[in-house]
Amino acid sequence: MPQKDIIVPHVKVKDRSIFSLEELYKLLIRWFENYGYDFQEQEYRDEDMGEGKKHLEIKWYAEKKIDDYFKFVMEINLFILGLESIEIEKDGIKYKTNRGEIEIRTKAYLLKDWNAKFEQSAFMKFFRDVYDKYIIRSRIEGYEGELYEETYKLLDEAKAFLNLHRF
Amino acid sequence: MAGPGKTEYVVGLPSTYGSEIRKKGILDPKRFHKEVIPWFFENKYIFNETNITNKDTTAGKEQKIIWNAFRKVDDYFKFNIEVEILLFRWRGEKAELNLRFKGWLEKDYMDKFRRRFGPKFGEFLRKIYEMYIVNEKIDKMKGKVWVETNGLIDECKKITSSLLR
Repeated sequence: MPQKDIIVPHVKVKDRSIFSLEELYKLLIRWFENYGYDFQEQEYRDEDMGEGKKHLEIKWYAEKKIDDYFKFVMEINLFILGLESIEIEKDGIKYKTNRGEIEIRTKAYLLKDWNAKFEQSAFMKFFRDVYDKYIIRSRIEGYEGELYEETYKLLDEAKAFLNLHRF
Repeated sequence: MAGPGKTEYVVGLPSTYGSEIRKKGILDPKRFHKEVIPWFFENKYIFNETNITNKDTTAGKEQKIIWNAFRKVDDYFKFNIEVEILLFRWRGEKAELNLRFKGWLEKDYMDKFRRRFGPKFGEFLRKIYEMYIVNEKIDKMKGKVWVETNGLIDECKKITSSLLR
């Protein structure tokens, strides 16, 4: 089984405001494409709450293959509560947008030996531990730092969007 | 059914679906059938609706349908998509809808290597062929089947008024 080094166990961005969910959704997906992640939407739950409001829960899984041994993985959960479509006017122009509460939860980890090459025997597993701890230790630390930075770049992108698009 | 090592899943796994859409509220299940099925024909898939089960319960009607579709890309590669549709608590216009998706690439679906060279030697040659000769093509094919499976997912999301990429 591949080894997981959890870099960001659980971090969230929460906001209650007026923002375009569609734009935020596309922005985040584009971020994964720009940073070279293979992205899959694992779950999309949409529940009508009546009175034009809905709850959404979206789960994303994104991974980036670094080489034959390492992968960066991010698991994102988006919770949108009480989402409603509204129309606002700014500088004389009408905009269709949304209002609601959004929470973005992120988990990121470094996947080592994702090909399970070292899973063939107990000796190989032992060798993998030695390999990780003594031979490529500084490389692992470098990748952990890189993944940490990328995760917070993603969250900064979301925060910037929510702050910038306040009405 | 493809032999071992001949399938590469890009969405989901053999035993689990990889992407799920759940919608609870007002929807027209018949519209869903009418508007999504043409996607398969437009994208040159051979489509088959199997496993339809209907049940009446006190909470409403329940219906489970499995869609299987495949597209032969050439004489070696085949794209496969499976969709599980579960409608429940269906009363009039209101229902809960679960859609689950799997997508995978099937290699050597005509079993050419085994037929020509025998089971063991044929399997060995197939692995060499895929590892060293068509390895880049396999990656491209996997990318394509991923794009097409997610294209279908987006089509289903349009009907359920969900967000698209």
